Amino acid sequence: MTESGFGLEVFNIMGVSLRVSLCATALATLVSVPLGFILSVSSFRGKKAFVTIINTLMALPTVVVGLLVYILLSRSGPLGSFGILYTPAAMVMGQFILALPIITAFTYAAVSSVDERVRKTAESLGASAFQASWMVLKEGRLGIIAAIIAGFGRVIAEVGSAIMVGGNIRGYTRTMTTTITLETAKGNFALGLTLGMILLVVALSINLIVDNFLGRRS
Amino acid sequence: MNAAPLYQLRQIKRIIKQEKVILSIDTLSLPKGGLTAIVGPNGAGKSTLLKLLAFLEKPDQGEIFFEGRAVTQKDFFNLRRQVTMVAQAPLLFHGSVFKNVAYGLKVRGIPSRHWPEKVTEALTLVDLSGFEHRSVRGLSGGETQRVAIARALIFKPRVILMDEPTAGVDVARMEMVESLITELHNTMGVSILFSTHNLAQAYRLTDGVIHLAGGKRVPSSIENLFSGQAKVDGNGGLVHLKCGTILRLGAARTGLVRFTIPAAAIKIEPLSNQEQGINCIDSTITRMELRGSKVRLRLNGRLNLRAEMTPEDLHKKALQLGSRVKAIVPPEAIYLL
Repeated sequence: MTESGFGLEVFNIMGVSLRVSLCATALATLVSVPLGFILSVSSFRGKKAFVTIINTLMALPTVVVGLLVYILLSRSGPLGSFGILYTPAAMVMGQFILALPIITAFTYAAVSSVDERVRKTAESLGASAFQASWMVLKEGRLGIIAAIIAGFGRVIAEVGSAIMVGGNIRGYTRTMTTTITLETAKGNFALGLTLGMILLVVALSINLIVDNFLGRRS
Repeated sequence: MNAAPLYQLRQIKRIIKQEKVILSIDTLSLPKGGLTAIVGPNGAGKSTLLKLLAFLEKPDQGEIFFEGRAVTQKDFFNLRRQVTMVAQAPLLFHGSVFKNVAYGLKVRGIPSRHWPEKVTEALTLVDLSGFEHRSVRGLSGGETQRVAIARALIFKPRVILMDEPTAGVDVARMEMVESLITELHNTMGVSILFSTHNLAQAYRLTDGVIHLAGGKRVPSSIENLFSGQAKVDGNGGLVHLKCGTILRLGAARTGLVRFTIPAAAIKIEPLSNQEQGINCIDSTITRMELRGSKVRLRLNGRLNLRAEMTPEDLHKKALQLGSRVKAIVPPEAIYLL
């Protein structure tokens, strides 16, 4: 492979990684932030147990998620008719499951730590229940953004699920982490390390962008 | 025009942890456009009462009427847009002073082009002109409180409730808050209720004082607050105080009791008066102070009491500072808490 061809391929791999992980994180955010918020402000029987389960799921092994999604999407599985196994969509599904408990648990913690006077103050100033809840979310936004970053960090760095349900197809489902696994297996440690460094730089860049955004906002 | 009082409370109870009654008020009526103080010691139920009046909490029992209409939970949202509360330690949202003060306009859907003028007007009222773009992070305690007041004023509420607005503040700031309260009441015609520990302040600023003690409304002052061991005696009860004084109660009770004796209910007679009895306490007048139409007395004896009488009565009985007197406490004037 020529030098420019290699560069192009790395660029393509980075693109797949970012597209899949950002999409999975965005979808997980849409579900997890409201879920973590509701969990924090509501009280119901079994809440403590539910929170414990969510916390436990943060340690869910990526290969277990990969296996579950594989079973669901395989031809004989309940979602087999969609035919999305070994596609980026299947990888998004796996990463969505991985990010979900992390963003939910951290959002729950972030909203729970917001001063309870925020809601009362907003209400006393004429806010509706929705407007008061929105203010609580805004006051806890630093923690919620940290939750989303943590979720993204988890999925961009995972390999187990991506390789199992994505199949590591060159130019299609090959991500940074699956490439590192492949190159390491081939004994190509230098390339593996280079890709590892690129992955870290990508993660650092995203954190810097978010930090800069937060810094300006606050 | 609706002539009904602003608020009417009937048989209100606020209960926490399923059994502890933290507020119990049989009746309370507050007039429109009034400036009223709620006075009481810590744990008297002042903040709880204010939260009920601000429709931030609902009573566990009883009814609240606002301008003659019984209030239900469905009405809370609309009423909160007419009534606002400034907390004892106000919380400002993260961001600028402008964003905080404009919040009430934002949630009411008032177009943002109108905000700057109204924010400036509200900040001028609390003497914080030019603070619009300051971050709330760098504000002092006094500035925080004034921003919170401006934030409450901006949507021109009909009722402002303030929870201990002068608690823990220095004299200069207390004077500023006091003058702001009277100015708001006089110029904007808004009904104001505030809670305070400071009885003198309550009487000086307002035209009505509500006394609370132990979660209950007491008829007058909460100054003469005592506790002792009670026991049944005949048809009534006796209470033994630590200082050795024994008082007859209007009701039979046993065990530890807390009670208050309204200053106005204590009868003062010269020592030469022949009246004798268990509720007659020999005392000396150690302080006299004219407050409104009454003279407030500090009586030192076995039991230190605050009492009050009219200047005419004082003159008729030839009492003066240092006079030895009998303080007579009618059993029915002892309010058990």
